Amino acid sequence: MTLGSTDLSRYGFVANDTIDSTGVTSSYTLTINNASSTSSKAGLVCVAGTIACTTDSGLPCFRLMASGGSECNVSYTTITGTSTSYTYAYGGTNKNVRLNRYYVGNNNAASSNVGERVNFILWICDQKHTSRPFANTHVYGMSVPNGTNGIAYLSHIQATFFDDSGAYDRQQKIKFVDQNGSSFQGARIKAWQLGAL
Amino acid sequence: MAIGTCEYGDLGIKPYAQATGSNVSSIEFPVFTGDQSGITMVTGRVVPATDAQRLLFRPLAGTSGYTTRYGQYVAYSTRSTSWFYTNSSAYGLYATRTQLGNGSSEGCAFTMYFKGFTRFDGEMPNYPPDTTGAAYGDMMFWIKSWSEDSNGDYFSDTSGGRFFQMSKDRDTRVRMYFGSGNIASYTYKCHNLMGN
Repeated sequence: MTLGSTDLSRYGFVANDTIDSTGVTSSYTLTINNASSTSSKAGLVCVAGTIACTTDSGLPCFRLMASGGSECNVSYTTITGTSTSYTYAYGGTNKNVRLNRYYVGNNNAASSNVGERVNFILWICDQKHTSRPFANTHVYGMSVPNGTNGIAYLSHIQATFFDDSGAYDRQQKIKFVDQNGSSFQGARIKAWQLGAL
Repeated sequence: MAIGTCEYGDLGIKPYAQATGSNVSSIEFPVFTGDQSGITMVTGRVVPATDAQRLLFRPLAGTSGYTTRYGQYVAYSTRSTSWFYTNSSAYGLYATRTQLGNGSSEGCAFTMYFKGFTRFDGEMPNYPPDTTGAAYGDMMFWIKSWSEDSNGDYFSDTSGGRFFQMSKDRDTRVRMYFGSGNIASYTYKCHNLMGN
């Protein structure tokens, strides 16, 4: 089935986009919604997958993009459940949401027998924002990165993409980048949507 | 309402497997079959027969041999400053950090998400070499649970991690059990949220 239809798949969620890459690249972008179609706007989007970094100090992040590729500002907190440590940003012009609190190791490090990378599941609750008060797109999820020492950490992610001007349409793409501009070594990511508003 | 070969309930997604029972040593439920690579959600509740037991689980991968697989994980509780983890390899992983009570109102209610990958060989350059040359799969999991412990205190637990070197055919079950003693009562439902 194709995006643009309101038919349900056998399993309820409809797959929108997939990244299956083993090439070194600076970012991955997936379609998560169709902002231009009234009938296929998603109420709930799930994005899950795994990303490996080329450096030993990777900090994978994600951004949401509205129509025309505009990247929306975001406030977020990413908490590591195994300590009191967290990372956050609020207000201003921040675009990135950290997938994890600690560094993700490079994929070919020998310190982890499962490969150092970050596994994640994100739930994106898309909402309307055509007039004040502008509702926002809320994202929550969890990640389990394998750090440079091979330890599996666990992070909780809470983010609100806000739009004070109402200029943005619904968020229709998610983009993964490294906070410090490092490259990714490989990824397998998939996006699904449930329902239409 | 029927769509294709799968019926939907009033709330959208019908369980593909569910069971309720009591006084068993462990329970098993399927999380992936065939080439399915979407996300499976399992909801349920378990009560240990013996007081102060943590809930464990392990995958039983493949159609032949029911071979268990290694995993990495972290488990922690809202009421504890210490956490359980392994960064090397382990068979049985903790679904709860809390020691569950065995009273009628105790135990654990949980929601689990399992995300599978069909194949992993060749997926990542320089991925730690697979010495057997087999095409192994990979399974991630996240578990949220609410528990009442042996003292009647409430906890919110989280466990997350990954099993690796899963069977290449990915016909995978998960077995749940306690560190000691039987499962006094249980109920679970398995939902396939996404297909492939």
